[in-house]
Amino acid sequence: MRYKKAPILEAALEFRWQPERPLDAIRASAGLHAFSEFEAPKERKLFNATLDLQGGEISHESKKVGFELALKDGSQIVIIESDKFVFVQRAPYDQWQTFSQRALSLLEPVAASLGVSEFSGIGTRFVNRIDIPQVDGANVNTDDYITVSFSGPRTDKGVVHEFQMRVVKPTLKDGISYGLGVATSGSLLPDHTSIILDIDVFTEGPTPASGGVFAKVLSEMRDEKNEIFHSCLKKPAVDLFGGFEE
Amino acid sequence: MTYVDTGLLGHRTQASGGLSSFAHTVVDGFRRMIKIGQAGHLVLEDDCTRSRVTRRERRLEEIQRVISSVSMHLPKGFAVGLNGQFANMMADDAWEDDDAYPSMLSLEAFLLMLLSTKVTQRPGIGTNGRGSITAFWRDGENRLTIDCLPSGNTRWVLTRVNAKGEVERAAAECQPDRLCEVLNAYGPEVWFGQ
Repeated sequence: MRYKKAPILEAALEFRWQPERPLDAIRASAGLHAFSEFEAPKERKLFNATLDLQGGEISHESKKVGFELALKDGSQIVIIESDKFVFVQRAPYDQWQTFSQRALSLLEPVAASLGVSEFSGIGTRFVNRIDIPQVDGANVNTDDYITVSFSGPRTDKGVVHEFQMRVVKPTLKDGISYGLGVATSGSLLPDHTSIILDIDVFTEGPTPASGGVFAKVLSEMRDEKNEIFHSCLKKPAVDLFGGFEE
Repeated sequence: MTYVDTGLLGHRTQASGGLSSFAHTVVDGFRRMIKIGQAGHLVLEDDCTRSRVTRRERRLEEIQRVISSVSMHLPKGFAVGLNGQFANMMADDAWEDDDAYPSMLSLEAFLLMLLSTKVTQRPGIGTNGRGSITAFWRDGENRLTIDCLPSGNTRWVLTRVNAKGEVERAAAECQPDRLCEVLNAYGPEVWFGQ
């Protein structure tokens, strides 16, 4: 099931490994048949610039670290670097099963070609934007829509016009932590205010790259992500998602 | 009320052992990207970026990202379809080098037009080569063309056969959020669907 107007802007699954693989092996994995639907891979580089404050000199260097592939319509992006694989699904997002199966179908041949049997880290990140209509141009009271709120030394008057917050902490599940970013944002829609919910659930230890333990960890991460999302929302926010699709 | 520019999203998680790109680019990104290196040195580490991306490819990505970001307010399948249409229109072998890329203000007008008219039938798209985005629908002799201009306005022209079988023609310029009202006299459901 998915909401008719699911607020997910972008969903990502990331898998990291050690040690780093050579660039030639990464290039070969980006050329696997699994990526035949994707546009040609583009090199990714890491840029470093150093400013010598005393001498006033600037030096810089770039290092090739991997490749990025995207579908022609831009809806899916894959990044393969020397130490990680990332699958990104842009809105519209369907559902976890579709999303994760697609990610794993692309990951598996890459992991096999690189000889990865264990992930040093796994992360899943969902960036949501809730678009809230303004009534008569008045500022939206975010407290009406989400359970995350400002609790400061003063109450003053009126509603909070802007805020942002980010927290990172462990979940109750062993080895799984999360980052939660919450912020107000502008909206492309006229007379709307948006709230960003950026949920990042990640492991803090090694996980086998396949099998039951791997599946269990992914499932737990998904459950945590969903629980965090829903626990952030009040009913007026959920009502904006238009109910569930048949 | 704009506080956070969510222009760059996702693409890495906390599993990277570093910042998510949300934090990296938005919240306090620049401060964290600059770190103190050896004494007297500042080190700037940029995120990994793709090499050899042309301006046309970059603009196409921007367009696709923005369309994707409002997909939940469009009819099912619209965003993916539109993004495919823009990819075809701006393909390397289809794009005239002298043409200006569709401007982001034109795109905003285009999306506001789609949202305000509540279209359920995806338009054909084109450009005039001067930064606009043209949307068009045709149903037999009934034709509607809407130019979404870099000014943020829309300019439209239509041909419509009325109930008496007479051909009517009209053209005007207006803000995208006024389109629904001004086109209402011409039975726009033949183009927009119900």
